[in-house]
Amino acid sequence: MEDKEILEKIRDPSLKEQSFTILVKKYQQRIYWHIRKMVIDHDDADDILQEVFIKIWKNIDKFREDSSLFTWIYKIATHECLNFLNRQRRRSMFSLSDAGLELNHKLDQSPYIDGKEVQMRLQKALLKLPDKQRLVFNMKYFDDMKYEEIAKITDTSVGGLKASYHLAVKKIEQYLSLD
Amino acid sequence: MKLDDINKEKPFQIPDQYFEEFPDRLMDRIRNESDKDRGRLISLPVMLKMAVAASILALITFGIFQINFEGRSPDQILADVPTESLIAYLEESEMSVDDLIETIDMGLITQEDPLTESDILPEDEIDEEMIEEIMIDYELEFQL
Repeated sequence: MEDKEILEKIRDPSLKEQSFTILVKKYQQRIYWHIRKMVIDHDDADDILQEVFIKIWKNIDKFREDSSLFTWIYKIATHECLNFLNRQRRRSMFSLSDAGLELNHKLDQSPYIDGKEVQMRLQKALLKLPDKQRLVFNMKYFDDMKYEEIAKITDTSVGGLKASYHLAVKKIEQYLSLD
Repeated sequence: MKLDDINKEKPFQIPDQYFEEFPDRLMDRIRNESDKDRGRLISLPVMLKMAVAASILALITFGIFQINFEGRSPDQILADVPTESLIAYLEESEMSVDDLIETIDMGLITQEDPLTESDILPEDEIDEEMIEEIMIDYELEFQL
């Protein structure tokens, strides 16, 4: 079902639940993987995914279609992800632990993670990047998104994104060349 | 090593049936939260009544204080109380060491600026979400 049709049905109170479920089924996987790549742990990704869809449920009536539904959902998910990582950082500031190390630890210890050595090294290299740069890298490299699409989601310029991605690739390749 | 040499496969997995079960789990949570919200809406007027009552009480207290002590500073009012009575009051009251320390002007003890709350927690970093999170951490959620 097209987004336009889903939105029309969601606005009809008698069809809201049913059509919202269609929306969830349509976008859950892409949004989950977008979140999961940022927070690493499955349980954290699951919590954030729920929060994202609850926000969408509560605010769908206010969505004025200035952007596409896909961009709007991605924006909410990105915002929730960055908020989560900031909260973790603040928490680790109080507990004197390192938020980056915690993500590394999750990569090593969390269930539902099992990759080849080279893929794990790539993930570890990604954790060296600042959150926003990692986000841009993930959308470009793993999700093959166009810069124009990423620019709409992150509210940044295409030029800035290209520079950020280029720098991220350099840093990652440098890290991978160590040893 | 170049990025192009690496397979784009991710090392992440998910529990069996995760995406099949997610929509139902989500809708259950949404229904539960809607029920809770309805409960909150019913009790809002009670909160409003309490807030109005507290405001009136505060205004009356302030009015009485103004009538009795108009034109006099707290220092002047305290000066009229005999020293023995003050000592007796402090001995009788349950003021802890912490309470006493709080009344001390830190500027008199050290010339250096003490570390303020905003030094470790800048105001621009305090948002509603953070306050909510702290409240949940300390189990101080509103019992409406």
